[in-house]
Amino acid sequence: MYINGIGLVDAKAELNISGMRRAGRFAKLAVAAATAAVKDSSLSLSGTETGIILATAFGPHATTFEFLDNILTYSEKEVSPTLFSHSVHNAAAFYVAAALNATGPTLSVTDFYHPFYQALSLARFWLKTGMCKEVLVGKSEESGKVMSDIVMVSSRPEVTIQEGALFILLGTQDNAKPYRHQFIDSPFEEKDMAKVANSLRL
Amino acid sequence: MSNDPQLETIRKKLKELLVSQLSLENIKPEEIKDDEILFGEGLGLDSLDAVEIVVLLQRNFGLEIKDMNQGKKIFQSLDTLAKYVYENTKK
Amino acid sequence: MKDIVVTGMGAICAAGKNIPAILQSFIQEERNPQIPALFKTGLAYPLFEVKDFYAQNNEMRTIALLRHALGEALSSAGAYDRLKERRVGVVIGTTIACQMNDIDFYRNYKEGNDPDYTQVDRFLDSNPAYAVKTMLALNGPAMTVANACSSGTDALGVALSWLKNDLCDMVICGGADELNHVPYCGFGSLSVTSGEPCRPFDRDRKGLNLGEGAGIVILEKRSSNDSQIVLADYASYADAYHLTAPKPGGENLKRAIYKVLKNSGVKPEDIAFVNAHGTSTRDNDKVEGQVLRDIFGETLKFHSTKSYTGHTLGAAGGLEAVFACLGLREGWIAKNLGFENIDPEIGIAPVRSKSSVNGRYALSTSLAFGGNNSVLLFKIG
Repeated sequence: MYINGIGLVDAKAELNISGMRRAGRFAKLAVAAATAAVKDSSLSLSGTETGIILATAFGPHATTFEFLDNILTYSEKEVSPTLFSHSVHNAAAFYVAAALNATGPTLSVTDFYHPFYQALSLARFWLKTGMCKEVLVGKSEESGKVMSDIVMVSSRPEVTIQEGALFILLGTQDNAKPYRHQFIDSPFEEKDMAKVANSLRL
Repeated sequence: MSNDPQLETIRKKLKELLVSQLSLENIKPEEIKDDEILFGEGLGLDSLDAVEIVVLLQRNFGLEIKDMNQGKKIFQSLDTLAKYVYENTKK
Repeated sequence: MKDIVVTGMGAICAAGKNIPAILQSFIQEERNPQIPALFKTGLAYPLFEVKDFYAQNNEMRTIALLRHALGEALSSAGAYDRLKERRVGVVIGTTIACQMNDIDFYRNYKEGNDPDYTQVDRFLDSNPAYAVKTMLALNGPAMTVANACSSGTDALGVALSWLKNDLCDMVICGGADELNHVPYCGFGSLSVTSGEPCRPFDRDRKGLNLGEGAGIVILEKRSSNDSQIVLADYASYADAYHLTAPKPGGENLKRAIYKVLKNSGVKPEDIAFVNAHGTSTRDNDKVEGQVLRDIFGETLKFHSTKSYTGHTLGAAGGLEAVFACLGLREGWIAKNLGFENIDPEIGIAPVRSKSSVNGRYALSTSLAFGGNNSVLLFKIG
């Protein structure tokens, strides 16, 4: 398994992406990072056999709270369907797929602690078993006043929110620039994943 | 009827609402033609925009679209939309 | 490569709080969607609530439903004792549990009204896979799938990957979702909900009814030659077309169905039945119905069990996997309630009465917002 491209987008990023007029920041971060990873690789994607796995801890929470604002401000019949449909965790992965014309398997996964590791492990299996030719594996997180406030007051201090997005383009061949990390094909080990994630500045 | 100032006010308001509520990019309200086609071509809106317009009409004009088949006819163009609002809100 | 078999199942939904009760509802052809009792609302879309079911100790309702179905699944697998000695993974699909959909909390927070912050702790404790891992002190991977309406089906796909790649010896998988005021408003605003009980695939269908529940399947490598239900394959393809509408023509659903058939050397006529996604929306049923017609023809036996459970979102794939397994095991599938007239745009009809099924293979299909098309192939033998 090889990392053929990396796209990293941080909180300061200006995100002007065409075709995403209704999307919130969470989805835009994901699309920016995914397209950056593909560009970084200089490869063309197969499209039909391109998988996507997007991991996140909190998803598009800012949009969820905007939708709750709608419910409180307007009547139940006057809430925005656009906000609602963009408040679900997997809307971002849809935008990534649409931006790259990727019609392979697309999965969004969520965990408050280590969402990226599981995604990475699964991506390797997808490639090993031929479910797809290449996989974009990523993590996206957006900041937001409400979620930051309430998480800080909660009794779970180990949970944090850090805005940014990362995608890597994983493939079975070293088709692009060699990176400082190759995957050695061994059973999933949490400490190996931690090493990779640390070096990718996750 | 087309010179009725109330209809003109409605048209203007609809144009502003469409741009802001649907987050339309690269177009200002005043650039939308009075008879602009809304779906497919023209503004190129889609099914999600259609249900958003239903909410927009409810919030801003108190009008309820009972089902989307009714909506299809009303939403054909800015002209049909404006006339629908005009017909259903004039005193 | 050993078969991956279903060693246990558990389910809870409006049709019943366990599998025997649900089968009874199927046999009696009973359903009773009603306007919500779980929360106050001025909207009048009927829902499929699980009646007389209450979460305890501030547990999120989704987790309580999950816990309930999990108990039945583990008992039926005789698995409690085996949990410690094996590498046990858990993968659960959901949509509600991963969002802070607590209107009362949010209102109090906004108004500076001393909001109850234990609700935030509850939210942070309610990642379903993580909750199960903690409940049972499991030692394997835990993953929560948030893929909208195909989450449960996709969770079984992940479980299959883990087992085939020898990451686990056993996987607890499926989906869970509660009824909640927030998505109730949301789906209403999308104009996809019906003011009457749903009518999957019917010519005059008006939309979906939301539901709640949990469907859990225990998967392990086959260890005996007795006849068992095998999870033979999984495939999923994305439309990359539109966030809320399926791609007309359903080409990616077709790809997924053809892939699982081809991988297992199964012909369309070998399929005993299909448990369809069948939400009863104009769009879904048209696209899905046309695909089933094109691949299987009008002799196909298929149904939507959402006519008994409502659309349970993240739980749907888990529940429907259980129902597909039951169909193979019992040799019959339930009448598709609400269906009267063929939709000329679809051209085929689901089963109009309880129907015996013959054949070793069954499919469960799921189509999700965001454009996922996911398929599971089950086999008995």
